[in-house]
Amino acid sequence: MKAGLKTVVVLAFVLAIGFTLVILSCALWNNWLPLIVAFTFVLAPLPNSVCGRLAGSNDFTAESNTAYLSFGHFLTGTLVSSGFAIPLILLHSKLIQGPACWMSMAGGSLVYGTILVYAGLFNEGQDEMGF
Amino acid sequence: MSSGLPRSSYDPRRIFLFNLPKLNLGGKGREIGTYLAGGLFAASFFLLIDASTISSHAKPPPDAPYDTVPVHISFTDWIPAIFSTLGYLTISILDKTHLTSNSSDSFGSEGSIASRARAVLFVGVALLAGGFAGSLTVLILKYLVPGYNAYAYYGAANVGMNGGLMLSSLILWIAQSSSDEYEYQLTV
Repeated sequence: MKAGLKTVVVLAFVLAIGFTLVILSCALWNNWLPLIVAFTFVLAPLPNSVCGRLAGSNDFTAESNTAYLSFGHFLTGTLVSSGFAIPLILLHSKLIQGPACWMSMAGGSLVYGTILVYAGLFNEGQDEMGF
Repeated sequence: MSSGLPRSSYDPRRIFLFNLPKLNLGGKGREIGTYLAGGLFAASFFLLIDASTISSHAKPPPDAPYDTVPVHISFTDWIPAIFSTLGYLTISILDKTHLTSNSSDSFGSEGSIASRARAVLFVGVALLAGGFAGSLTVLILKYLVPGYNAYAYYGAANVGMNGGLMLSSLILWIAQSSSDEYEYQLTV
């Protein structure tokens, strides 16, 4: 897929909106607990790239170890799921307000989606990243 | 072979009278199943963490503000979770291809690989089931029998957590035991 300059600008805007939502959800109530969400979503693409490199997924002649890949997928699922679960927990025990919960969740998914789309668009040389 | 079955669908090593359907999800399904299993694993842990957070921030009822909260989540509530997690790790680490293999060791003295793999699988499943039963025990003995019905959510979250781990291990099993056709296509 061709990625033009417009796509980059739009992606950057979406990323900025996502981070703004997360920071606002903390700053408006002067309660910085929802910032954990940003860390989980920023870390979420990491296991797949690390495990993909470990498994040697680009070298098909060697025996590529799918266990590494599966472990990376598992960790990604764990991180994304905790990104949604942490604000809900904080809301449930009344540590943060309701709007802060929804704002941090929306902001975190925007950040994660941006990273996914960016990686999908600009990794044409590699066959498939599969986040 | 004098059975009336067509040759293609007859597996001489099968042990069931009927052919059980073999789930084959393919490469993409394998990936999605692994993602789902990981998500469910974390979600079930956060269910118990949710109950612990609520318990540690619990306030006495507003009409009696000087009462103490009668029951809290303690280490007892986490023991079933520890057992379930150990069982989960044991099952997921196991290489499933050895469960049905007939080949024996290269040394041939320690018994076949399949029987050892089955023993490990038995331990894992026993730990998982023990964790689930333990969570039910905690729910009944700690919350329902003494009459803390207002705090039954703590026990219910415990049961949900252990059930979620079981379900997640089931999904991971199905996803991982589907054939690696995707992989073969790449290697050829």
